[in-house]
Amino acid sequence: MPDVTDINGLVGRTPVVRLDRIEPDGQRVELYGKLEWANPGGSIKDRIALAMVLAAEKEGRIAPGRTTIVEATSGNTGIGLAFVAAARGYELVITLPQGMTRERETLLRLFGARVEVVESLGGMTEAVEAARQLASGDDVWMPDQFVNPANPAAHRRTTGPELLEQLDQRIDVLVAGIGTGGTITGVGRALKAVDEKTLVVGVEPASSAVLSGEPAGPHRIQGIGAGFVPPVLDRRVVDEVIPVTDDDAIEAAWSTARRCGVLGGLSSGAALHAALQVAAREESRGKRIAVILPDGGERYAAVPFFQPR
Amino acid sequence: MLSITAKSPYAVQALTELGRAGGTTTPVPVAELARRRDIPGQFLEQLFATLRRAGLLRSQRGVHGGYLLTRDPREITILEIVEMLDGPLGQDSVGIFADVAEAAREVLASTSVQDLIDREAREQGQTMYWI
Repeated sequence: MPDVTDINGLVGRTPVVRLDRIEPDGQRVELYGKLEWANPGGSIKDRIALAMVLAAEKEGRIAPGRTTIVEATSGNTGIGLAFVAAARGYELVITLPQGMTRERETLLRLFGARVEVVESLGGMTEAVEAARQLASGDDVWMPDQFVNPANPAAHRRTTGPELLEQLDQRIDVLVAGIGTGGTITGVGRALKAVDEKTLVVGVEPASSAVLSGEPAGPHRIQGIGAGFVPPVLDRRVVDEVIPVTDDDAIEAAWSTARRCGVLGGLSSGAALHAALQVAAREESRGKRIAVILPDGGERYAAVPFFQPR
Repeated sequence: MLSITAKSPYAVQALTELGRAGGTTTPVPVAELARRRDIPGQFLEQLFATLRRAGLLRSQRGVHGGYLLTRDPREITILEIVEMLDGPLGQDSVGIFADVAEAAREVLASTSVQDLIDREAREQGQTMYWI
């Protein structure tokens, strides 16, 4: 009998696949993708959703049936929290600004989450404010993924060691997008603890390249590019940040789907584009490159700009 | 007829940009609006000449010249703009097509230039926080 008593037991231990058909010719690099959409909620965010909840339980701050969890997110973190909360018996409220796609809202509601749409002049500011106000009430807790140390800790403890085990403890280059910075901080730390020479490459949207010193701006690469330097990010772990345009991210997602049968989402495309840039460098000859693919392309199948041309 | 030509969407784009950048107080050159919204410049000049004659725009000459809105973007409906450029919408439609025209008029009449400015701001803001 499988030793899994609830869905949360299925978070993590995602597969790694070689992407040899997009590796640049003559470079003898090995490119591996970690398929995070194999998590039960469909993205890498399942890891931190579960970890943040378990950490708060351990500290005694929350308990099922007593605490309501509140977070402002229109991304995968909401979906991760939704199934974790459902399986552990928490009420969950997600605040969203007006004008979000109904599809996300539906997905959240299917897991029993309450979705509060907040009057907004633009962006998430009002939604975050509304979540903060709710969270200051009794028995209400806000995970706050941008500052919660359980976020990078989850990747230090699970994603990083998994990768090392799957790739025989040898990884020359890690490529990962930066949203909250939790993935790159946690996985980067795990990899550098084994080999401090591992090159850790972050990825951000070119039109909001805040970590490269550019101003924040609109972009389409959901999951990365918060528009500010997130507190969770440890920049000492990151050796380099590569900005990627929306079009290059989409193109890389498409070509990897067509040539390898691996359909990643927008941030996966951005990471793949950056990984191929690194792979083409002279000094990358013979290197083993691991790239984190945070969610799958199916989640964007209805998004107009993701439609194949 | 129930026809909306390329004139209307181009003009709506340009007026949204004008409303956002200049509104009723700061003139913006038509070439600048065309560049920002990727609209053929000469075509936009023709459209703006029509809208100026219709009283929606006024032009200001000089070094800092350009076009201004004559009214607040909240008071300009998309239907007005469409009808200034493409004529009365769905005037001769009958049967089901008259119903379609009526529905289209309703949507366009209940949306202002300011609504479109707000919508753009929202869409740009929201794409940044899907995390």
